[in-house]
Amino acid sequence: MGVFVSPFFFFVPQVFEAVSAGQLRPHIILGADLNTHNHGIARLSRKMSGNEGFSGFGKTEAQWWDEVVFANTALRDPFDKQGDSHNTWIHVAGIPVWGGKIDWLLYSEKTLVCDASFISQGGTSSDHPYLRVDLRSTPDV
Amino acid sequence: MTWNVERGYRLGSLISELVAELPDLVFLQEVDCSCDRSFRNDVAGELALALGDFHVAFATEKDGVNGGGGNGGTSPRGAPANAVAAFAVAAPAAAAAAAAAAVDSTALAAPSSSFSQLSDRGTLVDSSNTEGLNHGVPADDASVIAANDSKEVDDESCEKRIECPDPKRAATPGEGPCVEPSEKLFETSSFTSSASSAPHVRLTHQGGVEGLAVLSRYPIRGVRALQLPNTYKASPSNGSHDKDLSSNGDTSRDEASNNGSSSGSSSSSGSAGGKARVALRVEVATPVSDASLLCSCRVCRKEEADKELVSYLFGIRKCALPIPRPFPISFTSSPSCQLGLVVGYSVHLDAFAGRTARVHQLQPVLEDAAITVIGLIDSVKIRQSLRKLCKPALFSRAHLTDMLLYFLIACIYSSALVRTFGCICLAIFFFRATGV
Repeated sequence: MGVFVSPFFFFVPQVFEAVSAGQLRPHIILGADLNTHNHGIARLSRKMSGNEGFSGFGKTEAQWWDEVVFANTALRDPFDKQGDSHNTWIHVAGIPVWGGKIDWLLYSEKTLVCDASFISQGGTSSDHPYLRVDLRSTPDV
Repeated sequence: MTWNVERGYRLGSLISELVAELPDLVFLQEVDCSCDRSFRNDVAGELALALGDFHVAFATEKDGVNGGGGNGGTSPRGAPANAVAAFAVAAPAAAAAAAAAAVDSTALAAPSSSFSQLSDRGTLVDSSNTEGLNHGVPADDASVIAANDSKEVDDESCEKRIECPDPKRAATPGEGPCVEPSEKLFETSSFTSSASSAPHVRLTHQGGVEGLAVLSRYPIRGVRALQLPNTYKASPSNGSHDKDLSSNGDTSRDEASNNGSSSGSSSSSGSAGGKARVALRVEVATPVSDASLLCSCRVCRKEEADKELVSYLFGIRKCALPIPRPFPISFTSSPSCQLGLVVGYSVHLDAFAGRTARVHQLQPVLEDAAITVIGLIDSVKIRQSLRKLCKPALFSRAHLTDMLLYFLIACIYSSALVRTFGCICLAIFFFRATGV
């Protein structure tokens, strides 16, 4: 039966196009310094926050980016968006004046699985910590 | 792994931390090369060397960084914000470093030292068009691929330099001598020996470059620089640039200016201020997925793999390949291994631009990633359709079509058989009746 089934492979348009053109099925990783640091009083500054400084009031800048910018993409950053473990914060009298999650490490969650993530303490080699994730391919892809 | 290395001021500490992590793929931002402020180190090259024969891809964000004053300035020839350059060094880092070490101190007096140093590491391929040239270029042959995204911009700026009346007016503070177009400078791969004889080679250090880099343990199959919208707006009078105060109108205007400069030189001067924001896109063949096994199969026993593919396609051996594994469509279509491919981006957005401007700045990267994801979804659909075809339901359309075909062929065969049997019987009857 397979002899008669298999020629129909070539009549499936996607298969035909894929065989003829060769499609990429890559995994995507995005390592970026997005400078998402507009928190606290810094949001009052149009220079730092633009006209939408208060659109995400109550959220950190990283949360806003995660929910607004990256929500509709297949990219995911496994790190905490609220914690200050890898953020740069400047406090004045206990009030966070400036800071936030600056560095992002995103991966395509449909094709990759994050086994572990790690944030360096930073401050010794660079003014930024480094982010590391251990990725493997999604089993069912 | 991603890291903003702060221009490599503390290179030794960077190396020690990086080596301790033993990463496979590193995305770096704020990477200096031959800048005074970072002791003229090739930061990416040094890190790649320390990690052990890592492959390097680099994209220039800011050229002519003298680096004497903290954040560094721009060279007298300015920093054409759209002069995007991206190149990959596929040669082993040790060889590259050895080649770089062979460059004597006069190398620092050469223009575009990063390019010149890199040119000593292998064949330098100069191109004036990034689009498609650096994409998927095999980099196994120890080559250095360089590309300028906007030839017009470079030509214009170089033209200005040629028109410089006095080539020796470098005495003016902050200005350097008039130089030839950078395209010609790229050709001076052996500048260390020809620096004294070449009349147009710059005689003072004009600064290094700052940009993005990707270090990879695995071969970099392609490298490309994506132009990002600039959040700086130009002052038409003196060319100085104020940072965008992030009104939407300003951002869109900057984007329009930026887009225009990509295709023409008319507005290039409008963004020749700070950094030319780019995203470094690399394609790395990694064993991150099971598909790499197929890749290795293809390398070591290509014929068998092709037979496997053909047998799978023609149904001789149904479902021989596990369907959940990526379907090896690229076996016959691409010379390079597309399976297990990792497309990585290294991005650095402006720090003090508005949120809207930064979102717009990241937009080309997200679009490029989305295109890739769409291709991924399509391939998933393909696999799903293949799975259905490979395991048809009992009364599915394909199954009924097969049954119909079987029935028709059986009818044909049976009718032919009956006809043949009848003919044979008639012949026997005829021969017996006639007594032959």
